[in-house]
Amino acid sequence: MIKHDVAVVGAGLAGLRAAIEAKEKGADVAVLSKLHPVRSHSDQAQGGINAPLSEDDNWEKHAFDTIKGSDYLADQDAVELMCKDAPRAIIELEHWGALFSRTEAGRLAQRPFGGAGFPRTCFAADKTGHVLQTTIYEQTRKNDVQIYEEWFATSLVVEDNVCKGLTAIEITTGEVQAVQAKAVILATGGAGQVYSKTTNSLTTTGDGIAMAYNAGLPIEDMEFVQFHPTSLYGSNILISEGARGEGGYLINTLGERFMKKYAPDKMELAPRDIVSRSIETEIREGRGFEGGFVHLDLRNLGEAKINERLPTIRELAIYFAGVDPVKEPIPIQPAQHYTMGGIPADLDGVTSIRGLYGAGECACVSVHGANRLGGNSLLDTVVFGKRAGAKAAEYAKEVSFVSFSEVTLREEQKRIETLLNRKDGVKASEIKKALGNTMIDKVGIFRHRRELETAKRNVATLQRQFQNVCVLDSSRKFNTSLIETLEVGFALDLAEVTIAGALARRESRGAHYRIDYPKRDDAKWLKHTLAIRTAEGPRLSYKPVTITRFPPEARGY
Amino acid sequence: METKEAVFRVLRFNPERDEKPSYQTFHVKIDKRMTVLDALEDIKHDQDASLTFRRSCRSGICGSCAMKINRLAKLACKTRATTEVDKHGQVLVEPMENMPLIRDLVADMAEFWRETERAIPWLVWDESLTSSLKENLLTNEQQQASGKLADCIMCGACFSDCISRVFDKNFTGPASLAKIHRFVADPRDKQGAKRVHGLVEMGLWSCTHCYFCWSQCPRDVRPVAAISELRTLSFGSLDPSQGARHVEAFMDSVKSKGMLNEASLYLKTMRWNMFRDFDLILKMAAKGKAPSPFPQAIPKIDEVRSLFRLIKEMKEK
Repeated sequence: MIKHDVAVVGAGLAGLRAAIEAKEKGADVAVLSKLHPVRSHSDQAQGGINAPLSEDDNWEKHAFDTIKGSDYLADQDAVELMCKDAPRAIIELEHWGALFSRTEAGRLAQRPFGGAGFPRTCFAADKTGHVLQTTIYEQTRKNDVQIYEEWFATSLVVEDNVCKGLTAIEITTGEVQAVQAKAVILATGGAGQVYSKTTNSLTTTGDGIAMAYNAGLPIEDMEFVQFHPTSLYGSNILISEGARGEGGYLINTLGERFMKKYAPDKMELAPRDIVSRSIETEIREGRGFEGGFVHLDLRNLGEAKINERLPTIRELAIYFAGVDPVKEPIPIQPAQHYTMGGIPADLDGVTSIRGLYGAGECACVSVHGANRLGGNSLLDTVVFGKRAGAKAAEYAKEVSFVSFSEVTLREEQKRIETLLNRKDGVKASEIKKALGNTMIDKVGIFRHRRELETAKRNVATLQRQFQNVCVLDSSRKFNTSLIETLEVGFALDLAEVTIAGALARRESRGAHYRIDYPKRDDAKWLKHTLAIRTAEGPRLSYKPVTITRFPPEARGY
Repeated sequence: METKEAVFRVLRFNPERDEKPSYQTFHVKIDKRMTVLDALEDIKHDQDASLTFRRSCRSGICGSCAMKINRLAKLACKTRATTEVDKHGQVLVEPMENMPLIRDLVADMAEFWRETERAIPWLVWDESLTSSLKENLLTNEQQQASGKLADCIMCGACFSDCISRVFDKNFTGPASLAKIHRFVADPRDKQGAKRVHGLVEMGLWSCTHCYFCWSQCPRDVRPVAAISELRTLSFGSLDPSQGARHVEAFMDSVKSKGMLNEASLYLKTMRWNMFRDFDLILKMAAKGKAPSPFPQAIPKIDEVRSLFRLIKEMKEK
């Protein structure tokens, strides 16, 4: 059996940063990833990574912007820690070789980003994620971190509230194997594919969050789903916030910069929840273009600046929408972008299951609360990835390997065998399509009890259909149909939790907007949702928000 | 949107059932916006769930879906189906080459990854440049060369379509050399030009400049240009390789005589190795077919030399 001190699941920025740290602390560490690491979704991040580097900026300002942006749901101790550690984290990446864009003087350049009172977003043109993911992967080579690439984790092995490892499919052979580990760090990213309109990769299916939920861990704040204001109409490919940071305008059919009505001060650079709602309102009230989009106009930036700062955006717009932003506005609409909720983890990634850690988008520390600011997710991955790696290595040093029962492995082998041998039933792709449409239509930017209840019923129906899901490919080797089926199973669980949290939360906060409860209600709802798995579906409880020095106040931009 | 039916001929191979690959034809309704990846997803979901390929970001950045489309390696998510149909009448889809086949369109990339790690694949940071608390000062211009090469998404398209790799398994391939030059060109790298040592063993001179790696790169990384740069850097080292000597001899001959002299080119390139071919040389000389190693310069040699001076001046500027 495969055996390591620390097993990291997921090879994006958080997972690899955790692995490097655990390795440096002397642990025997391995990373499992369903993709080769450089294919990870972190690679797609465009706009940048925040750090208060300028002399006129400081961690308090960064923390305040983050907390206000979170609509006061972020845990302030975590935000403080992240903002204090940000400059160190950025310098480390630069020393590792990241090619950040520079000022004339050769310092790290910083651009304005949504919800920030200061231009504090470091960037590498509009391919920051690619640059950082490549750099951090190079460091795993330097540190000789072992990687099991194209291994798909299916479940955690938890006994008596101790995590002892996991089961995974080695995709190339199709073999279901057990991986014994003293500590498991989940760093599997968000759950964008629960929605049919998302900027996320096709592989961003929330696997780690669902595995933790299935292992009995209560999952936090899943009703808070970020919609990015500007995704390309048609394909929902991301158009970076950097496009507005560099000075792009949002325009409706009347030719108005409509953000003046919604955020007169910050305009296009209001936080994402507000800009997305504004765009959606314009579309709903008939000031959007046919098909449901508005325009992102970059023509005022000029060709030279677009080529220097936003080359990928230009390429994507030309290629995927047939529009050259130098000459024409880009058709954009909001789409699911980020999962604020996830695995409840403390400042060191520690969860309530011993030996289980979480980092990055799949975790909920919570630094993003009800709405994440652009540029904070990459920061989250490197700051908390490092901490989780250090803590897991420390824990692995203290404990020894314990008896590892193969019950879970045999159950997983049986479950997968049954799936492969089923001759007819419902196709996973059909379930996924129906789920995605339900979620975008009924659990989207604007929510209402009636629609949420319909969504709940729809998902329950899909859950029943999933009992009879059919893979339609019984081969063992490289069975991507099987992997997609298991991913749909994870997505269904997370959709259920999202809807339950959204139905219960009778207020509007950050990205969670209830038409029937349009006000924020701190007296009743300044608290985190926790959803635990039961036979009857998710059962909810709540926990308080940590507030240090920024008492909740009205949130205007 | 207007749709039309297109023919997709797809290479199929299931290692559990098939002895060798075969082709299967699918008919797919496509519109002008659809990519080859969209069509493959439609086939998988509507016609044959067992069709196997890698994919993830669907926006041309993760590098998962490189495959051969009408005989050229491309990202399926960045290739429009209608363009292929208009040009070729159908869409022929096959796995990448220069790699063993796993299943259908999935190639085993292990060798490709190994090649990219044959030389140190990370920045060797020069600590003397700055304190651990400060960033290195560097202008966008100083980063430009590395930045272009760092755009590489490791999709493997250049490796798949590399002709030199077909014949020389020791040739590390375009992506690997591009990666090395990415660090050579980085002012922060302590190794810098020292990284050129050892590249001869990795096949630096095996590249034939066919430019497929340039034309097939979905990120416009231009590995062949990096290979030329690395070759230039390898000149002047104490023991220049045969490839470097060949280039230098070529230039010397043109510079001094205004034309290529095959005899001196051969002698300078091969040095003592010429004795290997001694028989042949004697036979050629006997038939009057060996050119003199001491040719006359062309009449207007001054014009050629002034061209060289001009290039030198331009370079210095």
